[in-house]
Amino acid sequence: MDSPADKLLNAPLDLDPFARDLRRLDDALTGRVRADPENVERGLAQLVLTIIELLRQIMERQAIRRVEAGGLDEATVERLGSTLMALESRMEELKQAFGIEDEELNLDLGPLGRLL
Amino acid sequence: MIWVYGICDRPDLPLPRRRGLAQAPLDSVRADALLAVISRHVHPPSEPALDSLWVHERVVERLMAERAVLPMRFGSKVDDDEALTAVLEVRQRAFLAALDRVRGRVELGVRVLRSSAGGNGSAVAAVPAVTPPATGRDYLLGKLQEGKRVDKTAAAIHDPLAALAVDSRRQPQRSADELLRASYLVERGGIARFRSAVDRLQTAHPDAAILCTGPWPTYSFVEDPTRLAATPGTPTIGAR
Repeated sequence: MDSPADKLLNAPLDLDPFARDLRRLDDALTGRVRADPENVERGLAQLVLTIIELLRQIMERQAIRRVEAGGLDEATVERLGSTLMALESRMEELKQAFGIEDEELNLDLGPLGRLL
Repeated sequence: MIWVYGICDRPDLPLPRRRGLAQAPLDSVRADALLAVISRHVHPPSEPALDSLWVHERVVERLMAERAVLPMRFGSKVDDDEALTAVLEVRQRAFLAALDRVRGRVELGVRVLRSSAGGNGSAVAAVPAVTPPATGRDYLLGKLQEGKRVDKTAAAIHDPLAALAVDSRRQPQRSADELLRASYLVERGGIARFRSAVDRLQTAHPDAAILCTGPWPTYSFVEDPTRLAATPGTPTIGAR
C-alpha cells in the first residue's frame, strides 16, 4: 500500500503537532452533525462558541489595526484592550466548561474554506 | 460518469498500466494536443476516503513521470465524453498555456509551526508562555508585537524559499501557532537544493518546526477548472 511517508522531505522529530490537520481532515471526511441527546448540548455550544470566537477575532484584529494606525487616545486604547482581554479570558472559561479544544472552534464552509 | 485525474500533453504516449478508483481501468479522451486521463464509473466514489485519495494521487503522479499534467482535484468529474471533449476544445489554449507553466515542475508544500523546544522541534507550544498583560493597552500592544514577530519569521522562511521557486502561493494560517503555510512551484531538478535550503532555515530558526512535503502534482498552481467557468455557458469539469 502506498504510504504518505515518502512525501516527507524535511520533517522535525515530532510530527504530532502537524498531525492535528489529519484529525480535522478525518472530521471533514466523516463529518456528521452530532445531534443525539448526549451530544446536542456540546454540539450547540461548539457552534455558538465558534461564532463568538469569529466575532472576537474580527474585533481584535480591527482594534489592533486601529492601534497600529495611531490616532486613538490612551483611554480608548485601554478600554478596547481591557474589553478584549476580558472577552478572551471568558472564552477560555467557556471552552474549558464545555471541554472544547481550539481546533474545534471552526466551521468547514465547503468551497469557501474554513471560517477561522 | 467520468472521473478525471488530469489533463496532459503527449496524447501519442500509451496510457500507464495502472488501475484507477474502484479498480476501474484508466481510459482517455483526446482533443487535438490534449489528453484527459479518466476512468468510467456507474457509481462514483462519493466519500473521499484516504485510500481513494491516494489512488487518485498516484495516478496523477504516474502520468507526471512522462508528461506535463494539469492535476485535477479529487472529485473532478463530468457526465460523458461529449461534455469532456467540449471542455478540452473550448479551453484548449488556456490548458496548453497552463501545461507549459507546470512542465518539468513539481509542487513542494511547507508548513511552519511555532516550536517551544530548541532545534529539533520536539514540542510545539499552542501559545507562547507570557505573563498576562497588566493593562488593556499592554494586551493590545502585546498582540500587535506578536503579530509582527509572526510576520517577520514567516517572511524570513518564505522569502528565501520563494527565491528558489518559479512561483509560490501562501495560504492563510489556520491556527495561532502556525507561522507559515505555503506551496512552491519548483523545477524537478531543484528539489535537492530546496531541501537543503529548508534544512538551513530549520537550523537558523530553532523556535520554528518546519515540515516540507512533496514532490506533489502542481495542484496549487493550476486554476480550479470549476472557476475557469467564469463565462456563462463555458463547459466545465465539476469538482465535488
